[in-house]
Amino acid sequence: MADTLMPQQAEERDPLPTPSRAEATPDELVSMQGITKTFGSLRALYEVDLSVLRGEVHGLLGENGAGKSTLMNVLYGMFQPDTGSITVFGQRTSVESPRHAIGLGIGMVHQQLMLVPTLTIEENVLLGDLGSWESSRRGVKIDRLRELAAAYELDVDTKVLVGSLSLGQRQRVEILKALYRDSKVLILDEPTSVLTPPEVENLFTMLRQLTATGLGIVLITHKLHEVMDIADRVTVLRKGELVGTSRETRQTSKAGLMKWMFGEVAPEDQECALAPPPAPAEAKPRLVVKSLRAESEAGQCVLDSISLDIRSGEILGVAGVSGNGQAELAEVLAGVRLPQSGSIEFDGRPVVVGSPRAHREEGIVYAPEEREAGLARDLSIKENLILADYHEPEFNRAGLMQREALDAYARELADRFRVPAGRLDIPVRTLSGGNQQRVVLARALARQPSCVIAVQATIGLDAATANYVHQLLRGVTGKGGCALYVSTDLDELIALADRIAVMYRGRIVGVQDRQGFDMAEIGALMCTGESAA
Amino acid sequence: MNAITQDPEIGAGGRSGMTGERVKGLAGKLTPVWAILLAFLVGAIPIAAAGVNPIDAYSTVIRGALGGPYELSVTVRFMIPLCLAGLAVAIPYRCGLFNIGAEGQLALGAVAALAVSLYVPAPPGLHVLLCLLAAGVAGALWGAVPGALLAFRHANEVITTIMLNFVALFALQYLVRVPWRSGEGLFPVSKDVPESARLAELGTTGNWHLGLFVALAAVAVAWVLVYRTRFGFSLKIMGHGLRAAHNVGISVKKMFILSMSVGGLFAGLAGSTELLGVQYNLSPLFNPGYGFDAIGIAILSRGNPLLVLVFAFVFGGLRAGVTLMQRVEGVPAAIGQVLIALPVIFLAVDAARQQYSRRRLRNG
Amino acid sequence: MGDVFNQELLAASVRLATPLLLAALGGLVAWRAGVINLAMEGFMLIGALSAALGTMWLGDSPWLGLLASVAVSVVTAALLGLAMVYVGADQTVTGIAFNIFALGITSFTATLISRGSGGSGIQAPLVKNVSLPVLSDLPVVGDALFNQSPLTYFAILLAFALAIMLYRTGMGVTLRAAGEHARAADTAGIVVNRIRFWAFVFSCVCAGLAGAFLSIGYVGAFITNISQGRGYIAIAIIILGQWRPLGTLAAAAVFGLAQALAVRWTGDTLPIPNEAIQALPYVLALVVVALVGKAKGPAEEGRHYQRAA
Repeated sequence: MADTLMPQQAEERDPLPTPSRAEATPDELVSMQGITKTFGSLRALYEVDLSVLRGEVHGLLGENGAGKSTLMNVLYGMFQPDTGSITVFGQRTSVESPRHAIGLGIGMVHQQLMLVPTLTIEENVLLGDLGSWESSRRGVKIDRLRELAAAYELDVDTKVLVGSLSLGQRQRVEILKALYRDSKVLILDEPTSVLTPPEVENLFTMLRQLTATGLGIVLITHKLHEVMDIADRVTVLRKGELVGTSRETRQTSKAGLMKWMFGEVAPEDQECALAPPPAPAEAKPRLVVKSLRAESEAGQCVLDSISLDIRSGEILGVAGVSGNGQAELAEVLAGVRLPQSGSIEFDGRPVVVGSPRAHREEGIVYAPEEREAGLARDLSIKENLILADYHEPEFNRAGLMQREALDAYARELADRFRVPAGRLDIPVRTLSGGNQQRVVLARALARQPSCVIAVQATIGLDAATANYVHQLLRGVTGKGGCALYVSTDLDELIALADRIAVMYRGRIVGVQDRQGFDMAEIGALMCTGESAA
Repeated sequence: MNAITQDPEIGAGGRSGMTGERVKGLAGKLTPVWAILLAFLVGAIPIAAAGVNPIDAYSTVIRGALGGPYELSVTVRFMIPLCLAGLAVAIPYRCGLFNIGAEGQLALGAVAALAVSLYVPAPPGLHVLLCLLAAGVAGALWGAVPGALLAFRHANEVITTIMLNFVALFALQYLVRVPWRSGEGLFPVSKDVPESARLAELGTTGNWHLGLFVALAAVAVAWVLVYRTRFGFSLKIMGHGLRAAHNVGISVKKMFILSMSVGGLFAGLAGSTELLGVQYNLSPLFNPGYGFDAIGIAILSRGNPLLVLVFAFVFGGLRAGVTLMQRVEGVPAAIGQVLIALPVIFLAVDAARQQYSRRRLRNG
Repeated sequence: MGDVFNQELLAASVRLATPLLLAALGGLVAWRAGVINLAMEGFMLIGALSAALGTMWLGDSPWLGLLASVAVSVVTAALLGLAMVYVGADQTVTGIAFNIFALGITSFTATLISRGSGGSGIQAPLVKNVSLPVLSDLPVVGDALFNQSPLTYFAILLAFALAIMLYRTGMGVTLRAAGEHARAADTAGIVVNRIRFWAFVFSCVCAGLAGAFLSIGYVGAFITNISQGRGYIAIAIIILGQWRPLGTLAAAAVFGLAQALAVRWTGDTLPIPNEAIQALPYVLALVVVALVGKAKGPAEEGRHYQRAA
């Protein structure tokens, strides 16, 4: 199946055939074959194969939601696959639990570090390994741990609390955990997303040290340059399916891998938007953002001095791999998140930050990803529709909510935005995903907004509904309004946006105009933060 | 997940399994009526162990609650504070908070009412109103404290309200023992509430009093508040998800404080109507646990003020009935507490079971 | 002043602190594992009653009474733990409801039984105090500290044992991990709900022992509501002690002292009313909670754990 997807890639792969499924070579530490995993109605993996060889770094590449983490979680025993087989060191097994996986010699360093901040390094590494009444301060195990730490140059006192370590150091502790348990296969899930470049260097040095001793490493990442830097082989997943495995990374090109990751977009397939966008020079900026800085609760910088403007009649698309600050940017612009510093102006007037209602009053509305609490799932459709406006004076008299007015309002919204529901008093979670999104949009667009901040507005929707969403947005911009549209779907952005800004690590690393949309360039910016040139 | 720095309660750490999820978490398939019936079934076991036929015991309970005008008056007499205290717990509960502090707020409400009755002279009608007002304010303040601690310091309101209950209790004990003490008897009892401040009696049994109308009015006000105002709707949104609430512009912090204050206000009224309508003085035995029963009432009613009234009536009847049952059948009245607590436990377990199976389905 | 602060006060403080310490230590273990045990008050009552009845019915032996108390606590805790830890019933609701239930069932049973014994109540011979050799002859503190109930010694030893367990053994690491980052513990191979369940059962047994101390170690009888809210005080103690065993020991001492003072200070010989003294530890706990907020308690407190996608 992988072969048929990208016929033009054949010459870029190693001419040697991949080993047949039946045999396992002695160098094969782990082999996963035909893995399928479904969660409820979501098909996370479909017939995926992967093998890990002794002494190799195997890159597992793909966009968010491609299934990389899920595949490795199956290998680590967090989940059982629906179909498929797993062979570990030549033995077919099913991995029952993380404890079992550890026992088999498989270690995993998760993207969200699985370290307990209030425990020391020693306690974290020994977690799950100490007997109940065994000392956690002295003994053979501690000695061994300290030796390992010294061998891999974790130059921190192992009696220190993990909470006081930097992220790079914490990661080394995680790797130490795996080494301590004699892992022969080490899975790293997006290890570099939180590291500074020098820390990344350190990590890669360590990885090379480890593979020299025969360890097999799986590096889950969405970053191409990492794969090119350190991986011996690369497997690419897209939307839960295996696109291909290259034999030798050196023989693949970045462009080739990107095509595997994102798929081919033939120029003639790019849909034109419904209304021609105004020429950039004439459009005046309506939403002006200066030097926005935002931090997460943990103090990490999520928006790094962002400045942008959105012009009248334009849809500004925001591209980027999930987690690079797009969601936070949208939250700040919608008034939901308080930035640390920076300013927002709309039509020349300053906008109060951190107040969703103030933003809405200015005409800046928010259509968040439905999953991200855009809806209160157990409340009725009607209640969700009026969620943003129920406090308005027009619906309240003498402190009492005017129910008929609100009912009528909800009904009008439901009709206008074609939310198919006979009764509006049923819980909103009974609606399909697409219709739930209609509710979110209905709420956002209800009162002729001037600026729509939309995040993943068409995710999970069928083409017709997605098209409808695009029409709605064009409806706003056609009247001189503007929109910010965050999406991880490049195809959509290219079809819809007038300009595309690419975000990487909390900064805008590139902006392209509709005239000069360059997929490769955008892809490079998304994955590396740097131009492909 | 992304932390929204403005609000302390929404964040990677989240609140310890409490707010937001809580209201959802107590909506299982088991309805309160079935939970009560099941409780009666289970309660039959100790009754039988006591050598009494459960059917006889229960029918006596019902007789003691509803058997005649006198019995009904006792039921109503208990219903009044239970209803008001129930509202005190129910309102914060609608946004996912647990007001365990109804006991303390109730006590301080009574204290404030007594103070005004003793030291602020006023003509009869006005006097009562002033006392009630003072009680409401005192209760509201005592509710605002844990609300503020929660909003600004992330302090778990269950624990802070429990602490404050003790403080209020000690305050009451002191006041009764020293400055407002009456008589030389060994047991500390406060001075009596002057006639002008008492809630007028209705009927002859000494159990009906104007406090009934206070309770009914409170239910009406609470109902309007919950179902017809922006405040009530905001509470509802918060109860179903703090993130969604925040995203639509609700100031979660403000609502925490407000809802706890409103709750405290009702509790204050509960204490004062009990003082001014029935007991006429304070002593350490003033409050036989209305605040805790109120928790059960609030949960069974799922925050619906009308149902609070209904369950307050049921629990009031239970209190009245078990006294008769103890006298006639010899079954200790304490079984009433068992019958009150069991439905709550059943509901909590059932709701969790629901969520548990729904989650299992989602996570493969 | 001198007649207030004396050896008697010290001895009384230690006595009064004992049940608080026992319950708080148990509650601490559960809390560190991620379970907030609000049902301690109820278990105190149940433990008190079972100890008294056990003693009465099993040949007047207080030791058998203690055994009975432990047995009953274990069975009840297992049921409650199943509901709270495994099924995930809301810990607050279930805990408080259980307390009401326990008050009802113990009062009920006690009334019935004491009726049967001719109205003399449920009385049980006390566990005798044990005088520690040598130590109890020390001047000033000797009699007060070292002539106490064996349960007191047990409680103090337990505090030290838990301090060692929590911070120096594998069990402690596991427990703390379950209470701070359940998912990390899960990926490390720990069965989170199992450790939480047993921590919860342990805390209920401790609360039961605290109750047993009240009935057969202090009062000599079971009276209705013998615990008088001590189970809730235990929560304040845990917070005041900052979720550490030795801190809890100190905090329990503070509360014990406050209660002992309050009993002796009835004459109002000083400007501060004794209710204020009694209230002081609670205010202290409030201040701690307000200052410390959520930051210091175990991060997973109250949260039900179920492996998620």
